[in-house]
Amino acid sequence: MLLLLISLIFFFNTPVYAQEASVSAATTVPSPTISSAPTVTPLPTIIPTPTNHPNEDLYQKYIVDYLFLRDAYEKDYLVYIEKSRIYTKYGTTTTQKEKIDAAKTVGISLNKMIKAYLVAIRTRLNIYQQSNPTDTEAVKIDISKQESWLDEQNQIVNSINNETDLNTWFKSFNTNYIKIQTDIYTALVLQEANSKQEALNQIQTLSTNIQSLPNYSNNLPSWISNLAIKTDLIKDYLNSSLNLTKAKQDKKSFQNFYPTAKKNFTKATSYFDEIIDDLKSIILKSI
Amino acid sequence: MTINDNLYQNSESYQENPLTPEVSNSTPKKKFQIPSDPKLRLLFTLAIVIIVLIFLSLISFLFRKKTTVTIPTVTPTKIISPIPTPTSAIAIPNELQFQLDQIKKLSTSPDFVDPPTIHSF
Repeated sequence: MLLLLISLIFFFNTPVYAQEASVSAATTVPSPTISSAPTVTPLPTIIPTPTNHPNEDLYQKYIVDYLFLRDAYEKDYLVYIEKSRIYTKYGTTTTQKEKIDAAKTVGISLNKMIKAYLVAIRTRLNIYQQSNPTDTEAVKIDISKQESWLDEQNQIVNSINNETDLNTWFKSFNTNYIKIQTDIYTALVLQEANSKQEALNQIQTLSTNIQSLPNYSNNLPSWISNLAIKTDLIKDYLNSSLNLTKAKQDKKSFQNFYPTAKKNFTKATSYFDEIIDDLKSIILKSI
Repeated sequence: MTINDNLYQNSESYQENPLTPEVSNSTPKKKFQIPSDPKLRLLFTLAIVIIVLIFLSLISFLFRKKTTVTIPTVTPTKIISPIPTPTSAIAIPNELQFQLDQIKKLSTSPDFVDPPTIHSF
């Protein structure tokens, strides 16, 4: 009985496909016929892809070193926190010595970690140094000086035997760390500016190549003026970012200019995208 | 009564007289009655309900409205062929494409690992 009722309900809910027949007739699409299609020249199969600069690979290796040393620093810092807690609790000479030793270990780990990062970014600055050789060389020298300073600090930290000297060292470190941070972020900004400057140089080369294409028409000079406007805007953004790195730093705390510089770079990148699209269009019209 | 009548009456074929009323041997027909047994009564009711339902379903099936499901009719166009447009057919030469890729790579912001952050003592 119940089954019968269910079957009846099911029967009435089944929709009737009124167009089934017409659809099946309509879907029989005639086989495509290509009539008078333009002859397409075979596309080139091998397109060379931009390869990494040797210094880029070296940078990646140094970054791996840095990441390892960063982990070591974090572990050493946790040990120092624990030893510091024990010393606060018991206040014995032994626990104090353990705390100082742990602090020294953290200090050395810190120096090694920062040096590894400095080495990495200094290596990367070599890649597009030709875009701005003077400033790049100056920043590289500054970074090298910081690396030497950090090496010296390791020797100083090793010779520390009491808490007072340790605190004095940390204070001096923090003072110099403002300079280190400035150098780090300057290097990052300079690296990006150099890369973008190199892109501008290559745009100039490409625009010259485009003008020698067989179907390049002299009726398309407006894009050249457009290109000049956009490249000037990009140069302005790059210069603004570089000028931020030259601003004087406060002696007590680091004023981070990198976020502002990054905003300028983002705007420059959007102009680059527009230029690349323009160049593609012009190439397609000119070949 | 005549002698013939008597003879006729006494014979076995008296009953065959078409004038005499026919007496049937079968049991007399009973009128249909709802069974008095409660189980049978229930079955009887259910059977009626089923019959009524089937009847209703048949009627509604016969007078149903045709529900149409909108399936887009495919109207075949005259030429269905991916004829490449002149723009898509033209490929940028290798050398120029390489230069464009290089510019794109250089203009994109390079990936940096975040600078170190140090803990205070």
